[in-house]
Amino acid sequence: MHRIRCLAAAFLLLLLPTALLAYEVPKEIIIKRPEKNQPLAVWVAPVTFPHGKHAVLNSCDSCHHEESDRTLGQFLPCTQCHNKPTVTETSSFYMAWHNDSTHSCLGCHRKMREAGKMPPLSCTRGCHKKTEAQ
Amino acid sequence: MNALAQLVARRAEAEERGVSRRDFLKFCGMVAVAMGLEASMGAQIARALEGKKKPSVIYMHGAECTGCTEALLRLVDPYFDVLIMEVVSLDYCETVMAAAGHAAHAALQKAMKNPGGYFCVIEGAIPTRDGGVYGQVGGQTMLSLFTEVAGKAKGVIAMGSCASYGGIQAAAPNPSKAIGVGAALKPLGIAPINLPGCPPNPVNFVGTVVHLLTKGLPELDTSGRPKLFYGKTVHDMCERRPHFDKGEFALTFSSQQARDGWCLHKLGCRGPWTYNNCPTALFNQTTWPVRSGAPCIGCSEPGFWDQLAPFNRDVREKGDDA
Repeated sequence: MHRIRCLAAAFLLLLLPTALLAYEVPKEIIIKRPEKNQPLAVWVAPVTFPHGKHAVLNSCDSCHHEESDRTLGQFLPCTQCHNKPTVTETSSFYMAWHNDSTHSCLGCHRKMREAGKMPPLSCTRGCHKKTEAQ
Repeated sequence: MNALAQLVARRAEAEERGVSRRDFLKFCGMVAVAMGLEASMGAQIARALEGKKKPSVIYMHGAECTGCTEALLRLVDPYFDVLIMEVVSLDYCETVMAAAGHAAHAALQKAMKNPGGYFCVIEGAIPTRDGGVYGQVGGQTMLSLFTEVAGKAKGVIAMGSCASYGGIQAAAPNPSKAIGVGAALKPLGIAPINLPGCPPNPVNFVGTVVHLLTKGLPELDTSGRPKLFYGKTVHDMCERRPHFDKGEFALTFSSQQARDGWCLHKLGCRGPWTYNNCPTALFNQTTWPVRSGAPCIGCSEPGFWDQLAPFNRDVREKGDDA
């Protein structure tokens, strides 16, 4: 029995580098608006999202909510689904980040604030940095 | 005009206005619009309401300022009397009932024995410290009284932010340990429909009542609010939004930019993460805070008061002074 366990562990160890390569977790992602979408606010620039920091703090499915064991790795960028140009539809680019759901940036940060934590929340000081000079 | 003539004139006006069929249909049309339907759907709502026996409503007051009732009393389209005489049967409400003391308590007991059941509306938070002794009505704690009344109700509506999530009553240091209705009555399995706001727009209350009577329970969001009225952020419907999109932010309240309708984000507007219909429903059919030059303070959010204060300045970020 012990030998079988050792063999199984060794097999899993062999698989580990493959798994890490397949699911490389980017440290930073620059979120760009899909080209066909008109900008809502002229001053909002592409947002640099600290993906690695969020990946350490949360499970993958906190944000990649369409992933399941069967679809692992198929739903990688949010814009794969959230790419519509409207502001109200859940599948819009805007609502991917500004929805009430905890899968979304703003929804999750709001819930954390309710719990007494201090994630960034201000539009111009949180994600979309804007100084007076701009 | 002497006092008697004034009284006669007022009575004549009231009789003329009365609760006419026209008023009632106008009200149904208005509710249809508030519910996101075509105004022509008002006739269908009228038929649905007329076909039903008026439901009994018991309106309880907890730890609050009566601002929500005051907002409701200022309903114009429909007038409050249309609401309580044509749509529901308001059988107990301490603010508007003539009875007081033991007579009022007897009215409550009678209303609770209504064979057709009743809906319970609670305004205000519920003090819970030391068994709830810091909030009492007729010697009975609000906690025990509301448990009794809400426990037997067909449905519970939490009117205002205090009833929904604790609101200003639950702000630090919260000496009476006040909490919202949902949190206080959770052990009874009661999940109220939350209508937060300080005060909530009376249209949201009327619309919710009509929805309950005609279509059943409205769809609620994760915070227990009807999505019909709390489905979009204040920011997404704000009339100052074009200035936000252009990056035009007023930096002081006295500036010309603030008067010209520039965005109040840098002056502490909580609109981007506050779900409410203030910009479209308006208060007293006239205005709403941002139109009047005051930033949204997020009064319909579960974290209100403590998590959204200090107001009138940009949201506090990590490292900022309290």
